[in-house]
Amino acid sequence: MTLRWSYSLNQWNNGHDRFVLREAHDRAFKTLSASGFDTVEIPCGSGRWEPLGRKDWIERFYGSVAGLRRAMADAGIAGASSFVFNPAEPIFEEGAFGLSVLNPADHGRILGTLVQYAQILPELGGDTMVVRALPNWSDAVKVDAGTMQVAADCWNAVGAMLAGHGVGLALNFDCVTMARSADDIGLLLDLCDAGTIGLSIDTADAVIMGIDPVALFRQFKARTCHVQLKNALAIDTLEEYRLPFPDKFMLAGGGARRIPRWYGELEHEDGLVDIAGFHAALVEHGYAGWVVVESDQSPVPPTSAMLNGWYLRHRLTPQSA
Amino acid sequence: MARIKWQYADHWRTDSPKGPINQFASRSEMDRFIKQIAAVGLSGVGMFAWNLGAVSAMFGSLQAYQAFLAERGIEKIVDLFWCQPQASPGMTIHDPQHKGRVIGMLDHFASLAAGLGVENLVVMPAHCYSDTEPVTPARIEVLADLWNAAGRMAMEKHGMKLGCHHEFWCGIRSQEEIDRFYALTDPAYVNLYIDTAQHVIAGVDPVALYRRHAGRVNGFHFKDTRHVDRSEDFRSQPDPELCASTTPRWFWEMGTPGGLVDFPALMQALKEHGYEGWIGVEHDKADVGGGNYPESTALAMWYARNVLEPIYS
Repeated sequence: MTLRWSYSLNQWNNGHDRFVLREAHDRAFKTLSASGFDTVEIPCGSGRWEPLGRKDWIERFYGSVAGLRRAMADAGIAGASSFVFNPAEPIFEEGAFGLSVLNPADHGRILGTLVQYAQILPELGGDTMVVRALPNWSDAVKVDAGTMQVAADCWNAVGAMLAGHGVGLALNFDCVTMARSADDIGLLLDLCDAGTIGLSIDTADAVIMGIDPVALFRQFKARTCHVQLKNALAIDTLEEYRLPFPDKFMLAGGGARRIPRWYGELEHEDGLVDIAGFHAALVEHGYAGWVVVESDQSPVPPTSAMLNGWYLRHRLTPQSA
Repeated sequence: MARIKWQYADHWRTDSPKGPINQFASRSEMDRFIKQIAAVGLSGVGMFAWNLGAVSAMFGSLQAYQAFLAERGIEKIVDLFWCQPQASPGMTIHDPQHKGRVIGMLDHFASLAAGLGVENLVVMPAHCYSDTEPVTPARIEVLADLWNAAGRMAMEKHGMKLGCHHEFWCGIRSQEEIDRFYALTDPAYVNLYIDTAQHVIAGVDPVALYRRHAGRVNGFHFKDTRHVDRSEDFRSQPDPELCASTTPRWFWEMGTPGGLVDFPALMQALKEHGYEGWIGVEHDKADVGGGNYPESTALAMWYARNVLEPIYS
């Protein structure tokens, strides 16, 4: 089985008014194409500075979703594998400033927002909707069957809606999520429809939170449908996921140890993820989903893409070099 | 596409926690540099001759560096480049008394690279224009005599082709000066190394220049520009590439919007004349104004692969 490779645009879009102009998109597409990638993963977004993040903004910047697809093709990018959605992010167009799957009153709004991606993903050649499965850790909310059932109710509805468009739902658990272990992840997965909902494993986030991603994959290989492949350069030994706004104070600010960068390239000399071992496990089990490489926290995203492209072709899949 | 291979010409600088650094800072940085250029389809490197020592020290020998390159998908060092922008009392290229000094220095660098398969010794054949003036026929004849001798040394002693690379601010820069220079030099020993952007800035059409001297062209630096020097910026001191009055950035990657180099026409000319060998991709000062070398290199190779190679093939 051949793995399906994609590359995330997230790090190009690393500031609120960055990566806005079509010229910037074109440069990223061509950089990725030259580096050996022909598919991209797109972060969902909202507002005038997120022209790829929503259907309405895509249409304003590119005329139509098909227009975006043509622009991608002109730069050597065949399509989009996936979109990534975090309910907690603001959605200005819908007056939403922090939806939560743990709030049943938000379920309908989350479902309604995601309908647009079910429509545009197939048009862009994609088939996977990645969502942040659970909110940040909080000492007020426990990971128990009751809480997970509330989240599962939301995702089951979303999964059923997406399935109608030929799109799968992948639940992603980053290193500051309230789910802190494989058991926590399994608790939610078990409550979600296996026919429409799978697991998205982020190798770096798993290591940062103390989980072996190879073991995680082996445990959930039947449910894994999406991978974000990147390296980790530090482990959250101080449990700083408990900080308020951990995406800012821990991941961006570096926490008490002032970690300069939590994420690194696949072959980073200080990397903590067994990238080759993880890749071997995917191959061994005939994994057929997307493997999305990322440049997270890279000061120069093109550099990371080029290094990752080299590693992929010369080390992971040398037969393609 | 084996008749054409792409190589990268040494200019590189990236941000680090310590500020900007280049690939000669450490083996780690060299590793990252080489993997990045290999990732996008480059298979050779050009080097400034004066960096050979640092690379040799970094790897223990230049042979070890060669092995390091090969393990990462880079075939070899293709070119060595040398220039002396300013004239000085101890080194004035157009002073016949310094002829032996120039040749001796180039012999030294070429000797360092012995056994590596370096193909071209690339030089700027004069100082900057201001330091070469008056650029008279007699002075060009002195320079031609120097490079005939240097070219013979490079070929007969080291098996390298001497190529002359004419910066827009070089003492030999106009069409008339270039033609006079090549009329006075021996085709067996003195070749033309075309830098597309430099010639366009100087008002010389690189496509026509290639067609005129195709039999003597031993390599290229492919880069683009958005400006022609119409106000004698080539006289700016100390470095017209940095101090020009009209633009803070002369050089851009192939495919840049507004680029003035007609690369498709040049590629067609290469095809018609049966050019075979290396084409250099160069990004000089790519980080001026917020750009960066890795992205420029990826974009240039995207253009090379998607636009230029289909013309040649």
